Amino acid sequence: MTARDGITIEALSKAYGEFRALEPLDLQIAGGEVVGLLGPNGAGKTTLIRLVMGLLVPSSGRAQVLGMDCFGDRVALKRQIGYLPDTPFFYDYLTARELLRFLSEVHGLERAQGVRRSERLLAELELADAADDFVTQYSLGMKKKLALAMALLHEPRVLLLDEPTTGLDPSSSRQIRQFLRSFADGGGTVLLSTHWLDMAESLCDRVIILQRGSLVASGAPAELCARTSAARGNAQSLEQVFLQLTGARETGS
Amino acid sequence: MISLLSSEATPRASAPNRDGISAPQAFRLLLGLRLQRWRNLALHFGPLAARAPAGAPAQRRSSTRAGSGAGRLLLAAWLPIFLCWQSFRLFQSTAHDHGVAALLGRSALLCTLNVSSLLLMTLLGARSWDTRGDADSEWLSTLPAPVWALRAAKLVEAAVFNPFVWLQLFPFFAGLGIAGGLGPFAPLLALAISFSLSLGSVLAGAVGEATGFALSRSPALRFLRFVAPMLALFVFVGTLACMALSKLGVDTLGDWLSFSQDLPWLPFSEPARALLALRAAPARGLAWLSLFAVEMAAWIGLGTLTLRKLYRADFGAGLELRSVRARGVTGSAAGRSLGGWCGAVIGKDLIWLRSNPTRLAGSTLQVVLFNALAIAAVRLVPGLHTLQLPAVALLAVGTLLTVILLEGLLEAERAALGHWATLPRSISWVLSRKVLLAVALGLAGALPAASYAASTVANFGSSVPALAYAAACVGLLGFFHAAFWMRGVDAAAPVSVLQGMLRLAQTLIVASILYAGLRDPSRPVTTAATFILAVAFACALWHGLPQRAALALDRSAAQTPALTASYALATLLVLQFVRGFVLGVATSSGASLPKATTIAWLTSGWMVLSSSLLWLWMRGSPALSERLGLCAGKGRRVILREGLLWSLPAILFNQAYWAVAGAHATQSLQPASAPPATMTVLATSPIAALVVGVMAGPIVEELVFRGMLYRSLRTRWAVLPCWLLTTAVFLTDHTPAAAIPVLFGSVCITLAFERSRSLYAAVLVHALYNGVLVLQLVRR
Repeated sequence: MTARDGITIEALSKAYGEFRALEPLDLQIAGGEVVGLLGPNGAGKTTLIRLVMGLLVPSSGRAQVLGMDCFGDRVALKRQIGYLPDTPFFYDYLTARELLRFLSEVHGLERAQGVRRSERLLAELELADAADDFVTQYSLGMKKKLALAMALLHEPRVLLLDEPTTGLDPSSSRQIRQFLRSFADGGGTVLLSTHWLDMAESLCDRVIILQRGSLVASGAPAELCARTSAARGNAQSLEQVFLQLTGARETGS
Repeated sequence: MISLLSSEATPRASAPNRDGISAPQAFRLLLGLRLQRWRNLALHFGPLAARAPAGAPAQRRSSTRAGSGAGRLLLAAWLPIFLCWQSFRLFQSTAHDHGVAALLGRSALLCTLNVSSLLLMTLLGARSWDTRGDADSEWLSTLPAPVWALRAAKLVEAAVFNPFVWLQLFPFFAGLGIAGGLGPFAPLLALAISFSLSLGSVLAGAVGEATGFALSRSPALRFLRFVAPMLALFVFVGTLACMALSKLGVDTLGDWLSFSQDLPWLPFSEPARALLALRAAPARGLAWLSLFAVEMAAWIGLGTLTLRKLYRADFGAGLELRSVRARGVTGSAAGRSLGGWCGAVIGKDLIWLRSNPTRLAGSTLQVVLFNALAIAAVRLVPGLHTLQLPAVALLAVGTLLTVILLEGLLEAERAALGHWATLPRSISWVLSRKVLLAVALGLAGALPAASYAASTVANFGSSVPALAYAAACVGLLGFFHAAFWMRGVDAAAPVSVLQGMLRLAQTLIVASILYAGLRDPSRPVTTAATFILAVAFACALWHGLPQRAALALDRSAAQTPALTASYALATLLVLQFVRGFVLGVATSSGASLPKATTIAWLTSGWMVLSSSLLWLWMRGSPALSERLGLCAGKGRRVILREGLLWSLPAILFNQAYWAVAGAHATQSLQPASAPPATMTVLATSPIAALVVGVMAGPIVEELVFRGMLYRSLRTRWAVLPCWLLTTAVFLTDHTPAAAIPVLFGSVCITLAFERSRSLYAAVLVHALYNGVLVLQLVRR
C-alpha cells in the first residue's frame, strides 16, 4: 500500500487571524493504516481532520486523499471519505431509517442496495430496534453509532473519525475498534482523533501527538514507548509518554 | 467477528465514481427530507397524534399511525390548506359585496405594509427567520454534492417552508387573483408569486451574509436583524388590530390612512362582521356566526389537544425547561403549528411559574416604577402631556430604565438571585460596553411606538377600547415571543434583546393608556385607576395568564390568589369590552340609549356569569357557590342584618356628598366630551333602571369585584390591601364624578361582606345603594 491509497499532507497549516491552530505539518498515511491523533484539548486534532475533509480552507500547504486534492474536486473526494464529526448533526423528527435512506440517495446508491446496507449497519450497530424512532429521542451513544452508520453507508475507502468512541459504552467501543481494525486490514485508511490512550495503543498502527498545533511525536505506540523508556531508563506506558511529551513541552515553553 | 461492511467491507478497489449527484437531485432530495420531517411532525403533533392511546409510547407514533397516503398529505398540509381556504373565502366575499375596485384599494394598503416588512427582512437577512438555517450547513458540506447546490436547496427550503412569509404575502396575492377574475385559481397564483418573492428575499438575505455584510458578527446588526422584522410585523399586525377596532366604532386610523370604517375582509373583524350581518339578515348572520364558531372550535380544540398531549405530564410535576427541550419541542418545526405554539408558550410559562414565583411581583414593581416616574414627570412639568416630543423623550428615558431593570431581571433569572440583587450589575452593563445598543433599543422602540400610540390613543378617548387594544397588542407580542422562542433563539444576546423589546412594548402599551388618561387632567381618579388596572392587567396577561390558563385546565393544581385575581381582571376586561361592543352595535342599529344600555349590561352580565360558572366547574371542588362567596355564610339573619346595616352609611354618605358638593361638582368633574354616566341614562327609563341598576349591575359587579377579585386576594393578604386594590379596579367601572361616594360605598360593601362571610350581603348593600340613587334620578 502506498500513500496514493491513503492520505498525503504537505506543509499544511491553518491560522484563524493571529491564532495559529495548526503549524505547517507533513504527514504520510499509507492505505491500510490506522493513525491516531492524540493531543490535549485545542491541540489542532479536529482542525486537521476538517482540513483533510475539505471543510476548512488551509492557510498554506496541500493535502491529498487517494491522490485527489482535498481542496479541488470535493464532490469526488466526499464519495470516498466517511466522516464522523465530533458533534454529529441530525435533523429533528427524522428516524434513523429515513436519514440513512436520504444519505444512500445522496450517495447515488440503488434503492435496494441502500436498504440492504442500511439494515445491515443498523443491525450490526444494535440500532435496529430504534430504527423507527426519531433521532431526538436517541441517547448520546446511539447518536454516535448512527453517525458512524451514516459515515459508513457509502462504503468509503478512507475514514476520518473525530473522537469516534466518546459517549459509547465499553462493549460498543470494543465493537468499533474491531470494525476499524478489519476495515484497515481490508486496505482502508483510518485517521481518527481520540483521548482514549488505551484505544490508540491497541488499535493504531501509528500515533501522532499534537501540541498547540505542532507535531511533537510520531510513531507506532510501542516504538514511542520504547524510545522514551530508553531515554528515561525505565518502562513507560503510552499514557506516561503522552503526559511527558505534552506536559514537558508545556513547562518548557 | 465484526462485519459492519460484511462482504462489501473491503474498500472498493475500483476507480472512484467522480460524479456526485446533480443540483436538481440535491434540491429534490433536500426538499424531500424536509417534507419527510413535516410529515413526521404532522403525525406526531398533529390532530391524529392527539387521539393516540394514553399508554402508547410517543416514539412509536410516527410509524404506527401512518394512515392512508392522502391522509398523511392532508395532515402535513393542514396549515396551508386552512390559509388557502380562509383567504379565498374572505377575498371572495369582499369582491362580491364591495366590488373589485374596493378590494384592490384595500389590497394596496396591505401590499405596502407587506412590502415594507419584506424589504426590512431582506435587507437585514431573511435567514434570521430560519435560525436553524446554519446548524446543518457543515453536515451538508460533507455530502457528495456541489456545495452551492446544497446551499441553494437549503434556501429554497427555507423560503418554501417559512410560514411567516406565506402569512404575509398570501392574502394580498390571493385578493389580486380574485380581483383579476381567477376565481378558485387565485390561491394557486398567490402561492406562485409569494413563493418567488419570498425566495428572492431569502436569497438576497443570503447574498448579504455571503458578501460579508457581517450580520452575525456585529452586535448592532445582529440586534437589528432580530428586531427589525419584528417591528415591521408588529406595525403590520397592530394596524390590522386597529382596523378591527374600527369595526367597534373606534376609528383609530381613520384620519391617518384615509380609510373608511368598512373593512369587512379583515380576519380580526370576523365576529363583528358576523354580528352586523346578523342585524341585517338574521339567517345569514346566524350561518356566519355558526361557521365562525365551528372554525374557532376546531382551532382551539386542535391547539388544546396538542397542548394537553405535550404537557400533560408536566402539570404538577414542575419539570425543568431542559426536559421539554429534550423532547424536542424547542427550536423545532413543531412550533410552527398553532398547537405547538400554544403548548410551548404555556409549557414554558408553567415551568417558569414553578421555578420563579417571585418574578411576577418583581416585574410588576418594575413596570409600576417606570410608570410612576412617567406620571411624576408629566404631572410636574406643565403642558408636557400636550407635546409630542417631550412625551417621546420621556418614553425613551423610561425605556432605558426598563432595559436596565429587565437586564437585572434576566441576570437574576440566570443566576437564580433575587430580582433586585443584580441591579447594580445591570446598570454597569448598560453604562459600559452595551450602552449604544441600549440607547438604540430605547430609541428604536420608543419613537415609532410613541407616535403610533399617540395617534391611536388620540382616537380612543376612553380607557375601555385602549385596554382592549392593549390586550390585543400584548397577545400579539405573546405570539411573537412564542414564535421566536420556539425557533430556538436561545443565544443569550438575541433573547435579551427580544425580551427587552417585548417588555418595552408592554411598558409602552401601559404608558400609552396612561398618556390617554393624562390628556384629560380633569379625570385624575380615572387616570390613576385606569393606570393601575392597565398595569395589573398587562402584568397578569404577560406573566401570568398563559400559565394560569394552563393551571385552570388542571384540576389538581393548587388554586392561588393570583390565579383567581388574574381571572377576575380578565373577566372585568371582557365585561367592559363586551359591554362597550354590544352598546355600540345596539345604538348603531337604532336602539334607544336606555334600551341599548340594558341589553349591553344583560349580555355582559350573562357572559360573566356563564364564564365564571364554566371556569369554576372546570376547577372542580369545593362547591361552586363557595368559591364566589355565594353561600349562607353566618346565616340569613346575619346577611340581612349586615346588608341593611351597611347600606345605611353608604346611602347617607352619598346623599351628604351630593348635598355638599352640589350639582356643579358633577359638571366640573365630568368632561363635556365624556359619554353620560350609566345611571343618568338609565334614569330616563324606569324599567331599565330597575333591571340594570338594582338587579344586573349589583350582581355582576359584586361577582367580579368582591366574589372573585377581593375574595381571592383575601386568601393571602389582609383586608386593607385587598380593599385598596379591589376598590381601585372598582372605580374604573364608575363615573369619575362619583368617585368619592363610590369609594365610601366600597368600604361599606366590603365590611358587609367581611362580617357576614356572604356575597349576598354585598349584593344587598350595592342594590340598596343603587336603588336610592335610581329613585332620585327617576324622580328628578
